[in-house]
Amino acid sequence: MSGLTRRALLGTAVRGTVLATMGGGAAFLVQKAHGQVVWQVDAARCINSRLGEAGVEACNLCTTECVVALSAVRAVNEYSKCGRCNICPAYFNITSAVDDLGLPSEKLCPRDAIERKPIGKVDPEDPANNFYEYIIDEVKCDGCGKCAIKCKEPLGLGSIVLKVRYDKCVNCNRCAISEKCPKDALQQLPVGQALR
Amino acid sequence: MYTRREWIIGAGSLGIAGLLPASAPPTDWPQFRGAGRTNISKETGLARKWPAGGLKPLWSVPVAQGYAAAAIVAGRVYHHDYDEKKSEWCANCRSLADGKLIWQFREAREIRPNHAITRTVPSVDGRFVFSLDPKAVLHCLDAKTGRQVWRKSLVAEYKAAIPPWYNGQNPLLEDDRIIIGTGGDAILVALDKATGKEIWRTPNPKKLQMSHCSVMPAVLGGVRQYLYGTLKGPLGVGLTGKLLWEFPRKFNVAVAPSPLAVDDERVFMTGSYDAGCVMVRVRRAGDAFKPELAFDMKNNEWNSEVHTPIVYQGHMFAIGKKKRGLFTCLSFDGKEVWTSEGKATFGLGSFFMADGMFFAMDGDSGKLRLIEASLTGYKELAGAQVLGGQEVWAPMALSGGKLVLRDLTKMVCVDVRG
Repeated sequence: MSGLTRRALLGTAVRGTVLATMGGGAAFLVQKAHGQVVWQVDAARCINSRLGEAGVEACNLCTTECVVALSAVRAVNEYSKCGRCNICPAYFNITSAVDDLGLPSEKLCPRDAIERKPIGKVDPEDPANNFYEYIIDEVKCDGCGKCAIKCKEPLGLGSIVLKVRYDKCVNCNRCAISEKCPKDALQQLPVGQALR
Repeated sequence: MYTRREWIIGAGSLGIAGLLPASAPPTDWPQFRGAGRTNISKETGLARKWPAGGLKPLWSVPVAQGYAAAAIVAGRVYHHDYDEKKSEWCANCRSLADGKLIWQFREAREIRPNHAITRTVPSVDGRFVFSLDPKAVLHCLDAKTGRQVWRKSLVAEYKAAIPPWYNGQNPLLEDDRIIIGTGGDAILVALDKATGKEIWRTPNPKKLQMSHCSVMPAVLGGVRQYLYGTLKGPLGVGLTGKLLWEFPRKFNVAVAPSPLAVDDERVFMTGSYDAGCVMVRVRRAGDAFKPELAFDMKNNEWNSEVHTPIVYQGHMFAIGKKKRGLFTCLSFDGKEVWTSEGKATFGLGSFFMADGMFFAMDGDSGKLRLIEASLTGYKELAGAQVLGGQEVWAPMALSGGKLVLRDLTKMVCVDVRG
């Protein structure tokens, strides 16, 4: 397709944001360095990030158990994996009624924390096959995991996962979420490993 | 994805054979789900065991990423493709014997890859090839040369909306016409094969939208009709375009499996995005049809994402979505008679039936499995790694013992004769 690849389209726009975010995270980690360990969500264990199946309710313990107001956990869209779908099952409530454009009429996120932006020019004769960028507003997100559990194959690509944000985490010796997590997904990692 | 109707072949046949294209010899696979859209081949003499070394490809050709599968007529393989460098959609004709390209039709199409690019199966009656391209332009091509005979944009003619993930519908072949769903100004239309001229249309006052379903032939209450499905449920249209019945039932986002008559009275429809499935009993009273609910798995107890079940011996056979895709025997009241759980998973792979066996593809790995067609349990007869990669979801086509199948990058032909 004539030079308009998803990656090319998104790359420029998003790279800066990602780098800035990573840079910020890295800065906090550097501050915490000196052999410290930090908490992180192991996506391979997290019910929302990896093990969810259709019909299973999202686990919201990261939201309800964290000692930090609004939680230190956020949903993070790994852009390199995102399919830029027109109908994102993490953005839309896919069981809601379809509007005249063929789009579900309701959003999934209870806090309206995901923004949907078209990538490139929308073809007016074919609006249903444009690519879209999904940006999570971390000011609104409380890590409830509803979006992460829906972003699963074959409807999604598993690009949305839950992550501990180090600028919010107070790095408790015994993480309150980990105490309750049924899958032991909150893991303490050396700073260098967490950064990777 | 496909299906059904053992009752066409055997007991209780109600004349549906009259819906088959007269020119289709039994061993051809002229359209999506084969002649009659049963997804059951009439071929016999197929191998029940495969060599220890697997099935060696007779030929293999590269194809653009997608799920566009083959139709096979008179020793020729017809399939859709895409040239990513030139942004051109293609219809190809190849030799079944060696895979060599005989002709290729091209037309410029800008496509944004989303779950790959190509999909759908051409419908071929030996004289014409009918291809509904990704942006809902219907092409009639000369089957011998690939020359375009006529074209019709469903967007321009009927105000059809191009669905998300582009068109997934395959035209239904009839003797002198093809039947397609359009949405917009019509639900279904019948078009003259030779000219593309409209023969009839079904009015669409509710503005139902075109789906990825393909029109399915059926006989309900002894009356031949066409089944179609939209996000608002299944419906039946008479042979002259009259809407006979519709059953309101919400489906989510997109519906790809086609509605399926499992017997003379019941229609099954399933879909993706947690839509589950529904069985509708369509009772005939004189000229009227009254649909009523038989059962509804609206909590997604069972569903198929993209493929339509096969009806065989009073049961449905299909790959269900859950637990990484289990091959399942379902009763007509929706109960799982048996599944392949603990023995094999199939992702969103395709399947068809021939010679008393199911050929089922593992959509996550490209491994093809041969399964005994039985009501008593899952019995695997053979297995072979014939394809690879991911999203091996394309339908398969069988003709003369040659099975044509594909993954995201290549189309191959293997010999499955005994």
